[in-house]
Amino acid sequence: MRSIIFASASKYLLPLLLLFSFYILLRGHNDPGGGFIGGLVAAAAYSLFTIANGVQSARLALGVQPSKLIAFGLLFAGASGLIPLFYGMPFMTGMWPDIIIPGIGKLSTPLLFDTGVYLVVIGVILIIIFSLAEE
Amino acid sequence: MYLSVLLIFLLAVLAPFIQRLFPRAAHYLLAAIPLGVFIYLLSLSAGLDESGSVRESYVWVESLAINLSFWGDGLGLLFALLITGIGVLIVLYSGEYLKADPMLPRFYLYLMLFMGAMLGLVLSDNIITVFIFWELTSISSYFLIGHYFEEKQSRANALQALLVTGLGGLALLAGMVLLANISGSYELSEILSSPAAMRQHELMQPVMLLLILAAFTKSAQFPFYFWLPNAMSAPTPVSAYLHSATMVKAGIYLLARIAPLFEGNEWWQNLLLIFGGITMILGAAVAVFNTDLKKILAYSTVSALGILTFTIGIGSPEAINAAVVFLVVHSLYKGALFLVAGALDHETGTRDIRKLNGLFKMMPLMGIAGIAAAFSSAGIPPFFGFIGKELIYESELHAVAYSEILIVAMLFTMVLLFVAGFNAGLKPFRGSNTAGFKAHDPGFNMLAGPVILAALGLIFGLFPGLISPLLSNTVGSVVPGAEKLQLGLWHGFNLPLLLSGITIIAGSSLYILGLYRYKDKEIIRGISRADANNFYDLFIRDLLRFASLLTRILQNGYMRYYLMAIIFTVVGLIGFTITTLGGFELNFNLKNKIYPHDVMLVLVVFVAILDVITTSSRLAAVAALGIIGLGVAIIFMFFGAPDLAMTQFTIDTLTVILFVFILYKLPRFFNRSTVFDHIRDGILAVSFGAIMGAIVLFVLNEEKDLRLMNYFAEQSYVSAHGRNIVNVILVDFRGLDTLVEITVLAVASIGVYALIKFKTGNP
Repeated sequence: MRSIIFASASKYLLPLLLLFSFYILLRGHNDPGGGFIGGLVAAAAYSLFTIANGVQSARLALGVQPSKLIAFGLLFAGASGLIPLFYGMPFMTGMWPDIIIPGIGKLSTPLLFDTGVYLVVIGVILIIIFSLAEE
Repeated sequence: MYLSVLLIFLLAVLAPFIQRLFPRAAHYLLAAIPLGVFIYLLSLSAGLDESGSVRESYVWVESLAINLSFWGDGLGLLFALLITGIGVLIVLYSGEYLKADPMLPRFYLYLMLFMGAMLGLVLSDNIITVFIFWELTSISSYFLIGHYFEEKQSRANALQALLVTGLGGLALLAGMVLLANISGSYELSEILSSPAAMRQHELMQPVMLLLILAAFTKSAQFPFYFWLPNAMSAPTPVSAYLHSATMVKAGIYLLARIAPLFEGNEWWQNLLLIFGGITMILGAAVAVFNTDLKKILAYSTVSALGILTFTIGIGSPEAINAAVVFLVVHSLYKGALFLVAGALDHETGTRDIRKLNGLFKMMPLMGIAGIAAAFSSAGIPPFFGFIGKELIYESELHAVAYSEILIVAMLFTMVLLFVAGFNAGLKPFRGSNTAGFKAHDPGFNMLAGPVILAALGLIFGLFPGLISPLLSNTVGSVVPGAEKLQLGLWHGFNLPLLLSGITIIAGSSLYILGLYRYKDKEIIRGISRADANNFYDLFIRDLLRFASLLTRILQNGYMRYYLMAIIFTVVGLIGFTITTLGGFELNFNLKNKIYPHDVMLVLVVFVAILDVITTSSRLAAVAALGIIGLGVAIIFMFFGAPDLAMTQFTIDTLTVILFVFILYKLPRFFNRSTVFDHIRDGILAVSFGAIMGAIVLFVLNEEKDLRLMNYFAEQSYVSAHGRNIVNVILVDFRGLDTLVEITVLAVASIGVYALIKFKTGNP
C-alpha cells in the first residue's frame, strides 16, 4: 500500500494545497470561497498526507493538536462577535478598520470570524481522520 | 432590605473561601453578617406601626415587569427576623457540629445561599422574584439534604424533596401569573391593596387551587408530607433550620400572604381545614410511635405545619393571631429540640430514644435547653408555648361552624404533640444512664443555639410584651385593622384554660405510658405505611421504566433505522401535506434549455446509482457514491452556484476518504439483506426521491418572494463590503447561525472522538 511516489508527491502537495486553502479563505468575501471551503481543502490536504505518510508524520506536519485548532477557531469567531460590544455596537456588528495588509487585504471582524470557521473545520475533520487512522 | 439580601448572597459566594482561609474562625465571620442583618431588620420593624411597610424597588428586566422590589411589612419582617436570627445560631452550631467534615466549605455555600434565597422570598414584592427565590430555596435544600452524597438514600431523599417542592414551584408560578393577569400588577403590595375587587373574579378559584398546591408541597401537608421525614438525612443543623424553622414555613407564609384574597371563600376554608387537620393528626400520631429522635421531630414538625394551615383556615382575625404566635413558638422550641437532638447524636452516636437515658448529669446545659423546649412544646405555663396553645383553642371556640369538631381534632393533636415533645426533649435526660454513654456538654458554639432558643421560649412566655408589638404588626399586615394584640399568660378561668389542663394531664399520662414501645405493633406499622411515599416510589419507578423503554425503541443503535425513521417521517409529512392540499400540478415546462452535456451528466449519475445498489463490494459502492456526489457538484456549477459546487466537491472527497478509513476495519459482509429489505428500502428511496423531485418542480413554478434576495444583493457590498453574497450571508448577515453551527460541529467532533477512542470494555 505504501507508495514512494505518492509519499514524495504528498510532501510537495501539502504546502501548495495549504497555500491554496488560505487563498480560498481570503478571496471568499468577493469571489467563490470562504472559511468553510478553505477549511475543507486544508483538511483534505492533511488527509492526503495522512494516507501517504501515516498519522505520526501527519501530526508532526500539523504541529498542533486538532482540538486546539477547534478551540482557537471558536475563540476567534466568538471574539469577532464580542469586539463590537466594546464600541457600543450590537453583538457581531461587522467592523472594518482601515488597516490594509499587503497580500491579505483589509482587516475586519468578518475576516476574523471566517478564520475561526476555517480553523474549526480543519480541527473537526482532522480529529476524526486522525483517530480513525490510529485505530 | 435590598442590600441585606444581596449581602447574604455575596457571603454565600465567599463562604467556601472564608472557610478554607480561616478554618477555625470562619463560623464567627459567617455569623456576623446575618447578625448585622438581623439587627438592621429589627430596627426597621421597630420603626413600623401596624399597617406600615417599607418598599424598595430596583428595575431589573423592565420589558417583563420583573423588578427587584422588596416589601417589608409585618409578615415579611417577622419571617425575615426568624430566618436571620435562627440562621446566626445555625451557622455557629454547624461550625462545631461539622468541624471534621471536609465538605464544610461547600456546606456553608449552600447554607448561606439558602439564607439569602429565603430572605429574598419573604421580602420580595415582585411575584416573579418570589418564584425565583422560592425555587432557589428548593435547590439549596436539595444540596443540603444531599450533603452526605456518598449515601444512596441521602441522594434519593434529596431528589424526592426537590421533585415534590419543584411541582409546587410550578404551581406557584402559574398561580402568580394568573393573579398578575387578574390584577394587572406584578407587585404583591399592589395586588393585595384591593382584595375585595379581586375576590369577585372568576379565575380566583384556579388561582387558589394552584397556590394551595404550592403551599402544601412546600409546607409538607398531606398528601405531600412524606418528603419532610425523608429530608432528615441532612445534617441536623440543616434539619433544624430548613426543615423545621424556616423553609417549610414558606408555604405557611404564602397562605398567610394571600389569605386576604380568599376571605370568606368556603373552598379556601374547607381545603385548609381538611388537609391541615389530616396533616396535624397524622403527623402527631406517627411522631409518638417513633423512636428515632429526628423522625419524632420531623413528624411533629409536619403536625405543627398542619396546625398552622388549619388555623389559617379558620380565617378569623383571632385565628390569624393564634397562627402567628404559634409560628414563632414552634420555630423557637422545634429549633432548640433539633439542635439538642443533634448534640445528643454527636456525643453518643445514637438517636434512638430507647437507648438514650439519664444524660442530664453529663450534659446539664443541653438538658436544661431540651427540657425547657419540651415544656414550651407541651404548652406548660409559663412558657411561650402555653400562650400559643391558649390562643389556638380560643380561636376555635369562637369559630363560626363545626367548633366542636375543630376542638376535638386540635385537642387530640396537642396531646400527642405533648408526648412527642417530651419524648424528644425530656426523655433522654431523665432516669439513669443505663447504656453507659460517655458524654459532655459541647462547646459554646453548639450550646448557643439550643440555649438561646429555649430561653426565648421562656422569656417571651413571662414577658409577652417584648414580642407582642412585632406580632401585632404581623397580624395587622394579614388582617388590616385588626385589634391590637394583647398577649398574656393569665386570661382567667375559662374554657381554653380547661382545655390546656386536659392537654397537660392526658399528655403526661400518655408519656408515662411510653407509646414508642409499641412501635412494632402491626397496626402502628400499618399507619406509618399508609403513606404517599409508596405512590411516589411507584411513580418514579414506572417513569424510569417508561423512559428506558422509550430509549430502547428510539435509540436502538442502528444507523439504518435512524435514517429510515427520518426519511419515512419526511415522506409521510410532506406526502400528507400534498394530499390534503389537494395536490399540485407537475409542470415540466421549464424555462431552462436542456443541453447535451446536462443529459450526459444525468446519465453518468444514473449509472453510478445502479452500480451502488447492485455492487457487492463496499469499496466500489463508496467510489460510486463519490461519483454521484461529484455529478451533483457539476450540476451546481452548470447552474451558477460555484460556492455550493466547491463545497460539494471537497465534502465528497473527504467523505470518500473517511469511508476508506472505516472500510479497513469493517468485516466482510456476513448477513446480506433479505428480499423484503430490498423492497422496503426500494419503496422508501423511490418515494423520497419522487417527493423531493416534485418539490423542486413545484418550487420552480411558484411565484418567488424576492424581497430577501434583493435585500442581500443590495446590501452585500454597501453594508458588508463583500461581493460574494453567499459568503457575506455566512459570515455577516447570518453570522450568528454560523457561530452556532461551528459550535455544534466542535461538540459533535468531541462525540465522534469519544465514540472511536473509548469503546465499551476498552476505556
